[in-house]
Amino acid sequence: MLRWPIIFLALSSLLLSGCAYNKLAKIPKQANLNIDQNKLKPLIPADGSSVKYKATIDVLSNHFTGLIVLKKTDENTKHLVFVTELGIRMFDFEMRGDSIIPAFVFEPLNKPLLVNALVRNFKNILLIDWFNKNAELLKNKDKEVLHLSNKAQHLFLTRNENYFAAEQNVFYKTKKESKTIYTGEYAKINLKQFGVVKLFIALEKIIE
Amino acid sequence: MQRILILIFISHFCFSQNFKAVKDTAALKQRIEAMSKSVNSIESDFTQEKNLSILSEKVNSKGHFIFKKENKLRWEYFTPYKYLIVINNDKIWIKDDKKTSKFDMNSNRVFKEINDIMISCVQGTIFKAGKFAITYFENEKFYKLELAPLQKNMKESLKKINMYFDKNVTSVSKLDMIEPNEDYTTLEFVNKKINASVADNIFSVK
Repeated sequence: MLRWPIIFLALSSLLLSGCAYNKLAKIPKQANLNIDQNKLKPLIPADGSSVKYKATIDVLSNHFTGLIVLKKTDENTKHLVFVTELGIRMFDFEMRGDSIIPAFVFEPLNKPLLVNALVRNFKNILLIDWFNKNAELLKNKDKEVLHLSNKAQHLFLTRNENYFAAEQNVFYKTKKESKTIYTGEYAKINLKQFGVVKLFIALEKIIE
Repeated sequence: MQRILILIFISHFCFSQNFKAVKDTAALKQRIEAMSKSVNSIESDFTQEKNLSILSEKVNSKGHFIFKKENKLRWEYFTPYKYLIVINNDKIWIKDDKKTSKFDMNSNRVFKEINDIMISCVQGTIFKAGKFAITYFENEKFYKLELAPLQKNMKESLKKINMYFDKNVTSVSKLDMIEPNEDYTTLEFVNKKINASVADNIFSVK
């Protein structure tokens, strides 16, 4: 008896997700744009200074809180380190170019499903896929959107007037994978992952 | 004259950092055990410095803790933001600005381990658990116990704990927790009150 409402809900959610994709994909293309730091402000400073965020991560019925430190450590390498309030290092992700790999994961957390979800979503939050790529600039009278496609994955990004990211939607084919909302100059960042593995990341910049 | 003063300062600084092995370790153990027995409550401010070696970066926090025998602890961070951990026998509460979570220690091995380490560090009884190889040092200001974990799973995340007691052995003054990759966390305790009256109702979270 309960099966039909569930099927109906699943179908509606797929249809709504498809609608969201079509709404963005149908915006007319204006030009191609090579994305550099002038066209999209990065989250990790290029001068080697660090940025700290208070972080809340809810994934697979786990609730983690702590601090995230972002820093460029040499010409080609950047790191994202998550430590709990008690000082336990939970994970350290290393970034080179557009790749991101887990350099360290605290043993109790080291489950492939969990680590892959964290890596994929932090890659999206940090806008790693965008830099030094040729994106499409889509524009209509209401909005200007950047579009990047990589095989079946589609990324759509809006920016504020100072070229800070404002909203990013990531789709697999036409199905929405995640949505990230950026506030101001990256003072607050909220990511929600859709699908089977529910994940929510909230970051709040710490001003020292 | 200036050079002499600099030399005196440098030699004093070097001496103050220079730990040598304790000769009578049995006597020191007895003093620490006597301290643990006589302490019924501790209240203290603390500073915490987490050093992330890969980033050459420090994360600093400040807070306040209250311990009451046998197994009650309120551990509270004020900066960089508010965060509270309360342990009351077999219950543990964790409160951040969004959520309060309550756990039963007996059903969660990780929290049991956290509880054991936190309580025994605060009380100075961690060396009694038989989980560490201990070496005893002293300088003119502190006794220092170097605790190297013996268990394989603990060795993976912890290389060593340095536990400092003042020379009167009244309480733990400082803790260094050193990880295998040389990251470390230093906790320093200041404004300590020993055996002050502590109400029981602060060891629960509504």
